[in-house]
Amino acid sequence: MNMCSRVQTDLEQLRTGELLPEEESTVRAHLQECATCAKEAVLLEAFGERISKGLREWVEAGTVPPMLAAQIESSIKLESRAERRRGGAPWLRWRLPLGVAAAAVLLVVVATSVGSELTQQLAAAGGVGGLFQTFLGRSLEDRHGTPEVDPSEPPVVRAVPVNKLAEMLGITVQVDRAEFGADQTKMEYRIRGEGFQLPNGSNLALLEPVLSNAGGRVPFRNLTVQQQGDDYVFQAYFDPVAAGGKWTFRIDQVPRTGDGSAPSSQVAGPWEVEFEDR
Amino acid sequence: MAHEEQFFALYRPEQGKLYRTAWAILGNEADAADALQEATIRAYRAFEQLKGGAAAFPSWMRRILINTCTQILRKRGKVIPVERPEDIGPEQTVADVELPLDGDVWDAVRALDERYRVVVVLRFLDDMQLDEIARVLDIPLGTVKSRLHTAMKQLRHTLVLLDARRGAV
Repeated sequence: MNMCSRVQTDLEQLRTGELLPEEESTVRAHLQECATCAKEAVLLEAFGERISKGLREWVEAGTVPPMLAAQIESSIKLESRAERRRGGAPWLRWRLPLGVAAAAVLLVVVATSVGSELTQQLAAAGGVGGLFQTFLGRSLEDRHGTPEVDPSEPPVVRAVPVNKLAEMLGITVQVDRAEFGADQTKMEYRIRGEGFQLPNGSNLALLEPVLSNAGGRVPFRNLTVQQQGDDYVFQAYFDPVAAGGKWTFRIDQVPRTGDGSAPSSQVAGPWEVEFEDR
Repeated sequence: MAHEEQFFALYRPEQGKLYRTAWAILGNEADAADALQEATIRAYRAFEQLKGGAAAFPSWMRRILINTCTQILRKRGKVIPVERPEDIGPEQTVADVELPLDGDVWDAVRALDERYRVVVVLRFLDDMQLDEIARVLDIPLGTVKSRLHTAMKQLRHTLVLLDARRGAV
């Protein structure tokens, strides 16, 4: 890369004072000598402002598609409802039976004292290990006091392809995949079939799915949906759990349009898919 | 006012801007919708931790959204090889025929290749420093500089063409 090319890639940082002092001196010295680069610096100043202004104006004029706004409001209402069911304030969500809580605390202490390898093994194990993972993940989030993502640490997510169908009464539920993450469990699935209709935003809770294993039902958090052709593609979010073992995913009822003479109704299932994470 | 209502009272006036911010970063409306939904839920869960009251909400919410978007970009980066600065090929030019006659800055920016569009948006819309962009995208600073330089040349070329077409009408 010749000097002009190098200087021109530094001009944007020069403009906003982001260069180190020695880098800035080098660039400024070159601009004194090179008319082409000096002209480029002047152009960049005005052009950067035009780009910034143009993008901001476009953003300021933004609106959200009504269906998306309804989905988001519905998700928040579901979240709010799940929060109340879990016990209100976030710090109360983690009320555990005394014995389990004591065991989890003990595991935190032991794992911390013997190093990260055991921590990972415990987090990867089922049973109390799963509780430990849940406990650890939430306590770290609460300690930081922010939901912001630390970009230096991408979340560890174990994705499990499922690709199984449950068909009944003309309605098909297809479960595509499960994702077991440190801060949430996500199920991706789609529903299609004659007469299937999405309830309005405030009633999306009617479609609340159930995820369970031998340890019981995983607490549900929220649901999102998008229409893709004839399919409604859902992402259901649950509390984090340890991956592995046998799982059951179930939808108990779906809303369906009437046939013209009858009103819309709930069609009872269940649509159930079993899968295993080996 | 209930917790949920307080959140919505602050969130609703911002959501259009947030949606477009996500769209600008991610390049399409479907991913923007996912990002906005995820970021909104995160924000709602952490709403009690908001410091600075209502006045601080827009920038707090926006920050959560940008972090969510850059996390999505990083996931994309795992499957899309990231080139080193010296690997960047010959400059592409955005054909003027791809842009509407009344195209503006956004039309020019959205026509850029994703790797260039992202750095332009993070820089000129989100006011990120170049080393911060390098960190959130997990690419070297030199790559960010090269991409921004290339992107600006392409944008200038495109906007000059658009200005000329407008002047010719």
